[in-house]
Amino acid sequence: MTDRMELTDAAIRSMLTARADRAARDRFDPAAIVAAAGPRARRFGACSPLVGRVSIAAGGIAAVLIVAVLIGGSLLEEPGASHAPIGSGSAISPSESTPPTASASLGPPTESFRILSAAEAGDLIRSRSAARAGSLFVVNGQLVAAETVVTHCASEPCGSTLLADAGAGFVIRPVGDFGPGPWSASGPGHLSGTFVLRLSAAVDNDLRIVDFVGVLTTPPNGGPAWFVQDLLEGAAHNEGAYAAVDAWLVRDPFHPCGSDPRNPVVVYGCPTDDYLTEDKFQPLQSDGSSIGPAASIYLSSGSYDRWAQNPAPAGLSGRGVEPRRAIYLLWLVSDGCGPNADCAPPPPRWRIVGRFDPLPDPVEPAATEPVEAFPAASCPPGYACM
Amino acid sequence: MDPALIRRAQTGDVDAFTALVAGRVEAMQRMAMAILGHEADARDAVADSLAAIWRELPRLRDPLAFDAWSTRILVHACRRRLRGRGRARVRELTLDAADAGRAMPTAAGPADVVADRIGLERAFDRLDADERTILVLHHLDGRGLDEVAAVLGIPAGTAKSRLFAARKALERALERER
Repeated sequence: MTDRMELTDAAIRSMLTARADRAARDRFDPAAIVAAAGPRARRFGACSPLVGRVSIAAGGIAAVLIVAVLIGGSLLEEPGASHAPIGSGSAISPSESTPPTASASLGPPTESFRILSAAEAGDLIRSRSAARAGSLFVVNGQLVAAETVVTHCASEPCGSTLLADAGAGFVIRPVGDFGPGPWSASGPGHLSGTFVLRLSAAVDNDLRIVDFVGVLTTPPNGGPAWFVQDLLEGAAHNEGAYAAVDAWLVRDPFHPCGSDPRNPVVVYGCPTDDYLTEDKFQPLQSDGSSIGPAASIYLSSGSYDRWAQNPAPAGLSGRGVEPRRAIYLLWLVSDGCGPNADCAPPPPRWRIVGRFDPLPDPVEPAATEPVEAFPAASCPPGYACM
Repeated sequence: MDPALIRRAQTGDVDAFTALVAGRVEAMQRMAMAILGHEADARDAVADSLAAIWRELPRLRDPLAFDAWSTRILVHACRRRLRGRGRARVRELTLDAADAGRAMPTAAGPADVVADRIGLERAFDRLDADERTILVLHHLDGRGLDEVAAVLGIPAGTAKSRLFAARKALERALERER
């Protein structure tokens, strides 16, 4: 390297040109690409609210452009894999829940995530709600109120919320145990966006109940999941935001805890430091010491034990843990001060509230969970009903 | 770009898709190579991008936005490749002096030219995916700030500041190479 060199536009351009010149001149076979590309996305704006549809209720409210669902995996069940229910009701509240079941699938998750249409989401809900109760998925679409589809809100009959263009047989309700809290009896109104939903085994008036978790914040590159660095460096998020993050979950070794006079509801750094990191990271060093990752999302103590797939010890005397990669659902929330503390509420921080694990193919025959139709008496306007 | 061709490809016409991407593949290969600096990674990134373009094409609302949209897909594929292998990796270069001399003509002798270019490329390899991308879009692809912003899906002002920051990062990396 010569001392005289100056960094000029011409030097950068020349270096990049030479670098690009080394590119291979491969010939790509479009037919092979098409064959390997998998199913194509659905086209925008193909429907109209009043267009009749053969399938029950599927096409009435057609403002849905692409209603999309982010679910774990290719929706194909891996033989022998056990799938943890993501964000199951009992697993959402850190203080009251049990950890998700371990999964045998530990591969890179993002590549296997895809966006589903509303119709696919509907199929998934109708065929898998009971078997996969608690599993999270993401849908980018439109929630609509259907006053004539009667279910019960706090024991009182009320109108229901539907996922447009997803077919019939289920209604959507706020999750209740975390997130934005219950809707009014009229529901969220017409709400378009990307939502996190959760399968449930609950049924009301012969309609399956699907939990609405919240609106998902998606990265600007259009991908379904954030990387840690992007989430940290991106625009500020409002408290209450949800984000799916493709990251490694890791934990520092245990270390002694001091008393915390603030009596916080959620504890950080005691007895463990837990992190989400962009790259696989092991805080435990070969000499037994530990270091924190340079760029990471700092999590409350116990996050690894709670949300890692197949938590496993690592390192000297098992003091460390094996980093676990997955798509985690994060919620930006203030942890509060605790019931007896005298402190200003701390700023909101990301907290893991779920994990996206592979779900089975929703279009498989649903022998055990037959799809139900709207009763004629509850047919919403614009829907084709039996 | 012919909007009619794009619309045909959107409806599943493989011939139209072939015609659509045929003239772009080489440019995609060059951009991927410039960002990644690794032939196999660049090849994979382009293949991934072509598949994604085919798969997602029905969602493209404005055919006139095809260039920025498809470039964004490629950039995203490159970023993913780069992240997958670690952002701090510095590659050993295999340049021969004659090739380097052609690529970066200066008043200095061939040995200096080689040293300068190797040093600059090593410095570039120290940059993260975002910094590499914006420098490639601007300096190699010749895109103005508005076009860079369109590809990255960010405001033009943000593109300007990111380009400035990437340039500074390259300067710092170059200092470390000296």
